[in-house]
Amino acid sequence: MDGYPNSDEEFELMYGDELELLNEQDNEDEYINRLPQPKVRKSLNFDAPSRLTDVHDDPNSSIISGCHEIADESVQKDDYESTVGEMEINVDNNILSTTQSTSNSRKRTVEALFGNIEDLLDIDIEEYSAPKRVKADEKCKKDLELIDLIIRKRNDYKTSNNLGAIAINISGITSDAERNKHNISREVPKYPFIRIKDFSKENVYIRIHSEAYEKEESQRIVKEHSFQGVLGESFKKVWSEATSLISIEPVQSSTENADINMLEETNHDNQLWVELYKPRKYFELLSDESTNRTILRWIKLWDKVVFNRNPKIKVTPVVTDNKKRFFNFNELNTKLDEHGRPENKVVLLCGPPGLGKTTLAHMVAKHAGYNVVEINASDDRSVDAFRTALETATQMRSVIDQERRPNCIVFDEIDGAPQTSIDYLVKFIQGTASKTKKGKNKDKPEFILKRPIICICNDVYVPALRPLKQIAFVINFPQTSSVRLAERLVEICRRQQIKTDMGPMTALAEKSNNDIRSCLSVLHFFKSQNKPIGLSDIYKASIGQKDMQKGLFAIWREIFEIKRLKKPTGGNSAPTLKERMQDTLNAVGSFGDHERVAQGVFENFPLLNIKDTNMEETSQALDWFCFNDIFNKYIYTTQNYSLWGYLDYAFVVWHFAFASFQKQKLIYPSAGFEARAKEIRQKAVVAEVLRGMAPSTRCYNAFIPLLLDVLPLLIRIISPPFRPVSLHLYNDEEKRNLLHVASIMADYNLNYIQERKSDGIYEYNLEPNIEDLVIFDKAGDRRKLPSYSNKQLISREIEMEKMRRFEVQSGSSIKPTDLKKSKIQETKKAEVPTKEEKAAPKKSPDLPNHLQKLKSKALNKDKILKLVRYESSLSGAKSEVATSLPTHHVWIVLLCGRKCPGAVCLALERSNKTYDLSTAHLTKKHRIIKKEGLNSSSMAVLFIAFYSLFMGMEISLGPIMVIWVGCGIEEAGAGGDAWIREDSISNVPPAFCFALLNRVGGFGGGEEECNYLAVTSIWSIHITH
Amino acid sequence: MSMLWVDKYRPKDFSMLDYHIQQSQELKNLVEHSDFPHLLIYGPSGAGKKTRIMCILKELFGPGVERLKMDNVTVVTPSNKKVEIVTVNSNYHIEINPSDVGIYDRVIIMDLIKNIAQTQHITTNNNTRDFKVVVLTEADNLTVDAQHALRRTMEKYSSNCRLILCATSLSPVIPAIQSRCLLIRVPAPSTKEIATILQTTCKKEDVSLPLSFAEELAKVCNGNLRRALLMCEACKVENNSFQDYKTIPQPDWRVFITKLADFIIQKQSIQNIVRIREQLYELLTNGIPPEVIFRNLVEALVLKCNEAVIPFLVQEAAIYEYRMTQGNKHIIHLEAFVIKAMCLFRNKSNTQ
Repeated sequence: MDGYPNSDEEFELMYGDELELLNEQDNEDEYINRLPQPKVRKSLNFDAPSRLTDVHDDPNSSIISGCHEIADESVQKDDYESTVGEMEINVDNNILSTTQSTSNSRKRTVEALFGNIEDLLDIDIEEYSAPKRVKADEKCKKDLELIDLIIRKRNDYKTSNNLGAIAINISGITSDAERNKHNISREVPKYPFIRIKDFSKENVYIRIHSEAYEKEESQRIVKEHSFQGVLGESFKKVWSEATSLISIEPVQSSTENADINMLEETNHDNQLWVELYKPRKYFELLSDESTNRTILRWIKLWDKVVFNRNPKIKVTPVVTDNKKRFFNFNELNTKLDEHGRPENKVVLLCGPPGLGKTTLAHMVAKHAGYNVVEINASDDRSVDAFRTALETATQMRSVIDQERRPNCIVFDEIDGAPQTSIDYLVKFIQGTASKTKKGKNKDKPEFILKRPIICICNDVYVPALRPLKQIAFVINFPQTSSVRLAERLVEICRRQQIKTDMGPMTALAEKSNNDIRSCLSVLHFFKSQNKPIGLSDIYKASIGQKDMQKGLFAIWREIFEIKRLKKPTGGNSAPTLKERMQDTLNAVGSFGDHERVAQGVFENFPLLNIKDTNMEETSQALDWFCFNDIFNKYIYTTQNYSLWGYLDYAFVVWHFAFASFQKQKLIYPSAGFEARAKEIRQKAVVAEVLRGMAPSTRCYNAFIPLLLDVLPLLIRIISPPFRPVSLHLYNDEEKRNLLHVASIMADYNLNYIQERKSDGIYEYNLEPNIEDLVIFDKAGDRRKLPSYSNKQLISREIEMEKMRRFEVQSGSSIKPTDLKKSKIQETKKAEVPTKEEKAAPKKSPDLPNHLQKLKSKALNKDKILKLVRYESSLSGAKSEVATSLPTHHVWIVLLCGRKCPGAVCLALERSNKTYDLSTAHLTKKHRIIKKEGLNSSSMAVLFIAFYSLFMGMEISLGPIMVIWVGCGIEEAGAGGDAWIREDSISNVPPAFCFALLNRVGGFGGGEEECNYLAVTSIWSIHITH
Repeated sequence: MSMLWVDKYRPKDFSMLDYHIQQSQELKNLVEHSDFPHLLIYGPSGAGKKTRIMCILKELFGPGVERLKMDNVTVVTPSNKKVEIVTVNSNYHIEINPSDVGIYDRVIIMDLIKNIAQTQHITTNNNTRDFKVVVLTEADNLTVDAQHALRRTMEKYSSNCRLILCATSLSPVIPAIQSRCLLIRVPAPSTKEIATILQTTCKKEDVSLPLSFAEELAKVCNGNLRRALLMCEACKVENNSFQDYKTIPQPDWRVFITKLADFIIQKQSIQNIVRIREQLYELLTNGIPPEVIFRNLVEALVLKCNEAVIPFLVQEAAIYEYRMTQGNKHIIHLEAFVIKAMCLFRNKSNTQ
């Protein structure tokens, strides 16, 4: 049963560390001696009696003594717990192994109330956990008791502090003088002494006491001046209290108390109260206890690298290993890196203004023995200024400061700093790792950030802070409790001789949303009126209500939820309509971005459970949405922002229509944004259809009619009921249908492309995917879709159709060089396509190539145009190629000889996909040819190799153009022959062309100057039945 | 080359036009005489505006205008943004849809059209006219700025070029432009005309189309000949003969809107808002213009709902549609109307 510490032990367990921290920094010299015997650890053997004495013997734990006042209360609890403990003792042993998980659950509850204290509690957690788990409500009780303890402790501290101060004052003055008289002398004294020289070079002898004497003496002094019988406390307790108080602030307390008094008297009128009543000690901080502690602990982690001593906190591996710190946000990572620095090099404090973030940062840094270097919004924060500030602060130390403290940088209001500066800061913090490597190479002394950096911001969601947030230890500053704030305010009022009490002050604190600064300003204002402050004064005062910037969700909550007001008499009341209206107006007015708020309301209201049976109200609310929209557009188009003020009223209507007392689950509005993104995507699909359409079709189609009428019906037309059988089983009717579909699709730039699905099955999809665009009811889509094999057939047909068209086009687009001729022939040419249009379907094969029987192919001599000599500049060659090359096909470009950059690049430009194939893809045979040297016939072989490669890759090929560069006409002709030879053995496309560009002369001058003999020749080879 | 029926049997010159014979004769006369003014051709979708424009061009320049090609033209805006637009052009004319580039249409008008208008057409052939033609489609979608930019160009370079504007509605075109053009309205063909055209088309395709079904199609298509022909072809593809048709294949979005209307009439409650909004969003994101949604929705509602509500419903629809044109976010106005309609239905059913 002794496994359960009573309340003061418990308290000590929790606070011992902190106390040590506090003590430690104030008497650092002593500290080193004491370090090896941490008291708290010693007390962990749970030997209750011995431990009690321990506590009392320990001069450091004097504050604990206050806890005795509540000891009686805790006795009951202890008894209760001990019985529980006995009952559970058997269970205990079994459970011990699983305590890890239970302790975790326990951590949460304590944490919820106190932030992170489990680091202080962790050792005794195992003992706690078993009964805790069984008696769940016991936990709450315990937690509440913890709170009680701390509050009481705080009060105790206050009172004891006053007493202590008095004691010091008395003892300090009297004993010091007396002692000086006895112990310092200008003649050689009789007692043991040391000799030193004073300013006037005269000898002064100072007595040396033995250590024992010193102890005795100090005890005597304490005894003399102690208040015997005060609160019935024992001598030892008072002694320990006194010593601890002295040790906490031997100099500070006396000087500072004097300071405050002096300040109050002298600077009373010309100093802001905010400055005047700024917390000067750690315990005076009003901000949340756990937050304070976390930061203090973080900054102490730097001790290793800054002060070269081991940080006090939990570096013991046992502790860190045992813990599971995965899910804690406000949980400090106490691990140190290889340089002995904490993992998080920077702390980012964020929270609304007036909570004491800056004060805390300064206080903690001072407390930990640093000299604070503050950089705030009033300073120049360009990158250069940042760099200088950072470097000076981290690499130098103050000379003026007597104590030569190291610097701690505090970046205040960092959310307003420019992005580049923050990026630099991040680099500066992170850059250490990368710099060390570089530094080693250059044999430079490597630079490591060795000083803590604290950043402070109001809005953590500023985009510029994003990189910093990732590396920083982010602490969200919680609200100050209004009771604590009110207490402090009362205290200040007392000092300022303002008559008031807790009631008005609590009201003030609540009204100002616990903003300490604004409370003080209000008080300052009341002071000048010189009259007592009552509750009504506070309520009447319009001051103190700041322009509060609330978060988006807070605003939406304000709109969707009715807040219950706390009556001064107790209990809740619903706010009146007037109040609700005012609240909504205030909330919305304080947040500038009406559009986003309105969008949020619009997207959230259907999700709420609104009871509006005849829907009148909802309809009205939606009318206001319309109004809001029109109004917004008007404001933006006319730039008349004076109308902006009227926008707020819409939110009042929405509030009345949708608000309820329930807590609502709200979402961030994204539907509008997603819809917009999708709209853009879908429009791009239609644009793609339009882009690739045949010009003759294109001129009759526009965007909207295409989308509304053509595509939805087209998709039905192109999926007639085909039998899923092989092509040669089709009758003529079906073949005609197939061709029809293919040509329609070719007209409208549609095609089926093969795609591999995630499960490895291949699928033909429409490209561009208009199916997605025009089919709305996807589930109820009853169309019979063509089967896979049908799609494959269609796809092949489309390619054929495109080839045919290309052929027609290219056949007609070859212009004889003679310009005059072309003019004359123009009318003839115009007729050519129409003729061929009619001719093409008859001529074209119904079967795709691979199903065809191989026949010897006759070279259609008519189609071979004469090789025409074409002498022109490079641009001439370029345009020639450009006109004769259709777009969107795969090109095979074989280069041999010298390069002809312009034309080849152009050809590549016109093709929409480029495959880079190396000779590694080729079979052995082909590679041999490559080695032997490329004459034209071997090139043909090579080309066919490439082609079969493409077929293997299932890349659909359009007409293929081979550009032979740098070889003679004869050679190209031979290449053509070779091609035909090879063609008969493998499946190659029925039509292709060779463009041959030959270069004569040298590269004289610039690119434009160089003279090309571009010979363009085209063979068209048709498969004829 | 086999194509969609719409494209295949599209009249290529004035003699082939099936309806508005009187008008086409007048147009022909107009073109035959050497001078002809800027034209603004307007009328509902699917009435044959573009067909007539192409007929005019063919009459003017001969079959050369049918040799079309597409070009990508890049224009740089004053703010150094590159804007790309596709033109369809022949040797004699160029067709541009400036509203493709949204708010930058003014740049297109200023740079591209002015450029074309300024350069003289070099003619060696006596047949051709000494001006070229710029066809601007969707003229009603031009921003007011662009229209203002156009008006001076129209006057100044009228010796070099003629403009043919094509629009569905006249009201967005500023009066200054209207007065510079000869306005030609192409009305939608009558139901009877559509039915005849459907039948003749089917005859050419060797399919027999019963008159009753042709009339049915003509009724459904709303005077849109393009839609009628497409529906007819879709029907043919799906059934192969018109004997045993059950439903006329409608564009999917129309079916979707009809279903939405049914849903609204069946159930009026706040809880349905989420679903209705989803459906409205789907329509909007797939590019259906909000006016079209509005109109079709009201039509569908009117067909199904209580007669007593109709006047109120139509009135409200008018109010909300007007507001929508003034606002920015279409979804809000559409939804507000739906809720209002629900309100009306509910009140009606309560009072009865």
